[in-house]
Amino acid sequence: MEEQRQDYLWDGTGEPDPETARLEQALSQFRSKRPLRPLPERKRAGWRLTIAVLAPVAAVAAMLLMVIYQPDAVRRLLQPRGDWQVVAIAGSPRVEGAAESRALGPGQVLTTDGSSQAEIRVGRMGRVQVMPNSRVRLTETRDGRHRISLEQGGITVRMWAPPFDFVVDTASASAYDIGCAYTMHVDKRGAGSLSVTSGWVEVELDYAQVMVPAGATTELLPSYAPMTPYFDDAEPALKDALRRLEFGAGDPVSRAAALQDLLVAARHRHDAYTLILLMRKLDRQERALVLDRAAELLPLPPGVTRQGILDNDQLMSSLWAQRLGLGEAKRWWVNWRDMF
Amino acid sequence: MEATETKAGAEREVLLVKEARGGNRSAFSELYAQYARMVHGILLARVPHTEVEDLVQEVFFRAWQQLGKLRDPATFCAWLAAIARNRANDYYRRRRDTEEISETMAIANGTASAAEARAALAAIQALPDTYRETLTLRLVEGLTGPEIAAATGLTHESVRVNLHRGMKLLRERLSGSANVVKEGT
Repeated sequence: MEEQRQDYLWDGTGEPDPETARLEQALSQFRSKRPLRPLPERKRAGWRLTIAVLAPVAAVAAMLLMVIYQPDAVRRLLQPRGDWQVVAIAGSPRVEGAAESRALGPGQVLTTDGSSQAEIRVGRMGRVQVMPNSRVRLTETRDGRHRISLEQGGITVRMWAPPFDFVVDTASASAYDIGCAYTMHVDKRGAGSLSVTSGWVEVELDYAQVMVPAGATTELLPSYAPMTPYFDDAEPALKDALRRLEFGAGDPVSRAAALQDLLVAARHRHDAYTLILLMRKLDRQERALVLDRAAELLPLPPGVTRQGILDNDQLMSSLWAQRLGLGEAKRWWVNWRDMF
Repeated sequence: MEATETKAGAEREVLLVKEARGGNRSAFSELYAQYARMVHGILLARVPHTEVEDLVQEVFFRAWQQLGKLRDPATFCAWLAAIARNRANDYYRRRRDTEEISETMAIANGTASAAEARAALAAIQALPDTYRETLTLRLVEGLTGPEIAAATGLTHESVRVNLHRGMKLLRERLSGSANVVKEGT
């Protein structure tokens, strides 16, 4: 009898014992029932397609201009790939402890003290300014994948590169460049912030990601998903409430208070972006509250329903946020001079 | 014969993943049909059942958006399972306190059979990690042992052991809670 039960448990053959059968019958009510909702558009696929079509045209146009006006630039452009060039802006930045070194290779660390700053030239892709008291490691550089690790301190990144080719890792999250400029600060634990000045940056920890547009900031804390971005002119009370909501203890009372404060402090039209993104992290009841406030700031567009938003329909959320006119990722081909 | 069928199934799955990666929504829908139960089971083993359906959709949306990052299409199943586990872990970390309350209320408010089902599910969710996912996939989602092994990456022997020991533990716990109920009534 015992053997028969084990076989049934293993592959469904034989007769189940009554208790197992009863359990299966009772638990069957929890089975998956819902069909897949309509899939959202793929932003990345769209970008890659755009890049695939426009990159050759842009590259040829840029080359022609450079051949005529910037012959030295063409030479630099054609330099063989390898270690990244390091330029001292102030003081004596060090690569692997050596102040005289001017190249950063895979696995090597660039450090600055309180009085030094450096600029890393990432081949033809862009530049990274390293602020005082920082530590940056080059972890990987090869076609389509260039990663640095910001272990401590601050950097300002200006990239001219296909989206997602350049990545900055920290102890708390990774920042994927989408043709943009941004500033990032972290402490040794990875706590800090990322502020975008041009284009977009995707900040990600495992499955959790936020898209940060120009003029907005996301805050980082180890072991937490990147905080929902807020615009830099948002009310201080909104920023504080977000911190309590997403990085706080999470008990129901303080959570409800934080959410209430957040809704009161959301006053600008573009604060709706924060609210729309935040809804993904909330339960249905909380979503309903946030939806009402966000819809006051930014009315739902045609085709986007309250029910769809409550159901966490990502396509509808995206269409709603697009009403703010934040635009797609920066037209990176316009900024070809960033290469130099 | 069985090995041939398995190989053909794996090849078809790789083809589906490649098609979906290229933007084919029908191919992705087939992958959903194939793996929705697995994702549902992984989530149900960890988070309140009232939230699972939404989270399943989120996991598949995430997979749809990130499919370009999957280097080896043959690892789709394990990759998808990892996304589901990560999503569940994050949810649980953030919502533990409030959901414990709502689960209790749900049991109190349901019918007798619904309450029994919820109690059984709660007992599975309270089992050690080793057993709860395997048992949820078997008892709730109806996957067989070999299907669970394929979905979780565990060996057949490990799944068999987890099922056997998990069931034993579950019976003991349900028996214990039934006695508590009887004493209380």
